[in-house]
Amino acid sequence: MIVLTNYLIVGSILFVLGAIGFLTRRNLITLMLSAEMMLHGVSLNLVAFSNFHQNMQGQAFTAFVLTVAACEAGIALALILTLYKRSKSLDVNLWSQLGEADIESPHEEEPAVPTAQPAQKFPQLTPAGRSPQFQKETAHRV
Amino acid sequence: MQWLKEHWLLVLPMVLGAFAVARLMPKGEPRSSLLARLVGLTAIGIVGGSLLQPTGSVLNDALFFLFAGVAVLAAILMITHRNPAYSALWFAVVTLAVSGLFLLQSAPFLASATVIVYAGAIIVTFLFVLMLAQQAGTTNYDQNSRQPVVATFTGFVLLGALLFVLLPSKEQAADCPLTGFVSLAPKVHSVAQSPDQSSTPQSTSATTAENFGTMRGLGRSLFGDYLFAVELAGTLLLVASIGAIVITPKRSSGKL
Repeated sequence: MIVLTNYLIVGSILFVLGAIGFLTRRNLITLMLSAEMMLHGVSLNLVAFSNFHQNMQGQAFTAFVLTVAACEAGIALALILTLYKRSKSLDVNLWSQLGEADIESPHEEEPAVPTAQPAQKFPQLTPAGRSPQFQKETAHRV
Repeated sequence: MQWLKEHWLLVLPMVLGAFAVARLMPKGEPRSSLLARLVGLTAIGIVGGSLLQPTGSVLNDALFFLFAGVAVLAAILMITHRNPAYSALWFAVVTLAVSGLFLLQSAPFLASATVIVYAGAIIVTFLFVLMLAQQAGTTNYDQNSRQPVVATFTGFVLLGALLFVLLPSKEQAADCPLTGFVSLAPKVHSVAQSPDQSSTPQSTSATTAENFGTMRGLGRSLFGDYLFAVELAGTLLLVASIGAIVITPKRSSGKL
């Protein structure tokens, strides 16, 4: 016997975390992934109730949820590509002008964060006609 | 105050979890998040240790806690990671853990279908789009989430309300220790023994208890009870694929 409430708790936690991710993140792709995670929570609920009642209706519904999720992902990727082509960015805040004109923009100004790139070390070729000097570091890397 | 004293096991992990998630959300410069991680793990531990009830079967419990813990941890990491590519990979981990939970609930076909559809198709195409569109790694909008404190507060208020409804009170738990439900659903055994008298919609005899959990039962249910819905779902897939082809920018109208 499996405790039903445990699965409902895990499903609701997944649903709420997906909702938080959908509300806060600004990358269009992360938004879609968060929506898919909300669907995971709902599917978990349906399957748990299916096992609880010992009939297949919840599992059949989950199959339909899977179908709709696949359709949604396809359409969403097409839309994301179109939006990217127009704005050259995946930022969802660029599209906040679609709202009503008299409602002020919900997002605040933020300082630009320098994206930390790791310092890259390129291999240096020795000029022709000179014997290469083997350093410890290069020997260690190879 | 009395209410708070009775339900502190529910309120405490909500507060701790909200603090941890709001703190872990990317906002500005990367900062040390050791405290937030510890607090989040504490919240998950409180939920796992006190709110979830063990069933008594050691193997079932071990698998359930493993899959549930991995699912929740990977979900938190997914919504808080600064790099969207890593978010997609953590979402793959969530998908695998959820399909493990499906297996525990005797839905093997759905587990494999979820892995194939989500991890095999959706995440891969998302990663392709990510590689196509955002080659610079993490960007400015990934580092600054939008109103993280308010959104996290809202989400955890919703979660607290859901858990407050879901968790049985003490007298209910004494009545029905295994399911925790007394009012929502009929007892399992009565449903299993007399499927015809249940108040659910009419289902064919093949979809009842003896075929439960098998692919035969699911197929009979899908193509018997839900035949028209399956046809509609197929039409929806066709329309969605046509729509995706139409919406996607053409190569002739400019470089992507």
